[in-house]
Amino acid sequence: MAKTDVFNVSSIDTVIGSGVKLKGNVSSDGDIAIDGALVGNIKSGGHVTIGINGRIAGTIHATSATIAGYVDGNVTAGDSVSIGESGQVHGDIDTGRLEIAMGATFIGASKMKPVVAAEVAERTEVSG
Amino acid sequence: MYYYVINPAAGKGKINQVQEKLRTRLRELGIDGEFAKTTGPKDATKMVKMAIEKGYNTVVVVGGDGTVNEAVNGITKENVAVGIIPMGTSNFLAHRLGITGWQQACEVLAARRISSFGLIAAGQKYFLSTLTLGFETDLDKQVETAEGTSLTGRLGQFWQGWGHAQNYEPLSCKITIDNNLELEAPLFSLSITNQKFDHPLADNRLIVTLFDKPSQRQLTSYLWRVLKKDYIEDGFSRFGAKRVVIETTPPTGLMIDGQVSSRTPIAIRLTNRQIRFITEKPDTSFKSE
Repeated sequence: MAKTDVFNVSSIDTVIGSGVKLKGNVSSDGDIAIDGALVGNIKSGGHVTIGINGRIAGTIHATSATIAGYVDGNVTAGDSVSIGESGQVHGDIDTGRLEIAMGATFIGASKMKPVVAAEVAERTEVSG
Repeated sequence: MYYYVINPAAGKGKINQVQEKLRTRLRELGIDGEFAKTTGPKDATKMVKMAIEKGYNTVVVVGGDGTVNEAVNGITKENVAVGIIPMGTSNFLAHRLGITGWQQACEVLAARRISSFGLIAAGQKYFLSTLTLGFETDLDKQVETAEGTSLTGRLGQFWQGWGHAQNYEPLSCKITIDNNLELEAPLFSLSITNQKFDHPLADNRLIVTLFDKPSQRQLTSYLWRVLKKDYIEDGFSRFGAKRVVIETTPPTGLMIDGQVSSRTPIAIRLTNRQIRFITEKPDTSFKSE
C-alpha cells in the first residue's frame, strides 16, 4: 500500500511478487516486500517482508523484518526480526527483538542488544 | 492572459457543438483570451511556442491527449501554466489531473491551482503521466476504447477484451532499474507513471507497476477499468526509479499518455524539466495564483 500521509509521502512501498527474479541491490526509504528471488542486498528505512516464495541471497538491513521465505545472508534490524514457521535464515541476525516460530530454520548466530528495565516494564504493561 | 489552443478535429469535432457556450462561460469567469485553431499535426507545438514568444503565460489546450502532448512539447519557459479542457477521444491526462468535462474544466481554470510535474523521456519522446505496455496496449489496438461509448458498445468491447485476454501470451520482460538492479519476469502488462499524479505532496518519481495475468474472477473488474481508461495501481510488483530500461521478448508497442507510440526496447527517465499544470486535485500543496 502506498503511503499517503504528509510526513512520508516520498516512500512508496516496493513490492516484488513471486515469479520475479532480481539481481542487484534493492533499497527504499519505505517498506519492501519480496516474494520473488533476489541475488543482492536489501536496505530499507522501514519494514522488510520476505514472503513464503521469497528467496534472498544477500544481506537485509531494515528497521524490522518478517521472514516467511528463504534468506541466505545476514539480517540486521534495529527493532525486530520475526521468522515465520516456513522461514529459513542461513546467516547471523543482529536485532533488538527476535521471534522464531516453531518449524522455522535459523542457522547462524544472533546478537541482541540488552533490553533496558523501562522497556521491560512497558512490554509487561502492554501484555498485561 | 490566456491562450486557447483548439483542436477542431478532436473528439470527432465535439468542440463545434459547445464552442459558443464554452466561450460564454470563460467570459463569465473572467478568463477569456485568444482562441486559435490547429489545422494539422504538430500545429499545437508551433502555436504554443509563438504564444509564449508573444508573452502569454497560460496556455489552455482544448482537445485530447494528442493535442496536450503536442502543446507540452512547445513549452519553452518554466513559468508557463498549462490548462486542459478535455474534448478528445482520449482524455487520459486530463482525468489524471482530476478534470472530467469541459464545464468543470472552466471552473478548474478559474480556480487556478498549480502543480508542477516532471517531464518523462521515453526514447526520443516526452510524456507526463503514464506509459503502458503489454495486454492493455495490445487491447487498445484491437478494440476501439473511445470515451462516450454507449453501454451496448461497452459490453461489446468487454467481450472482445475477454476473448483477447484468454489468448494473450505474457511477454518475457527484462528491466534494468537505475543502472544497478536487473529484474526479469513474465509480464501480462506494465505501467509507468509519475508518483506525483497520485501523491501530490511527493517528489516526481517513476513508479513501475507490473501486472500478472488476472484470474477469471479478477478479469471482469480489470477489463472494465482498462476499457474505461482508469489508472490501475494494484499490480503484483511495484517499485520506484529514476531511470528504467525495458526489453521484452517479443518486442512490443507502448502507449504513452493514451497514445500508441514507440516500441521496446526503450529507456525511460525522469528529466529535470517541469511542466506547470492547472489541476483540480484539492490538495493543500497546490498554490492558487
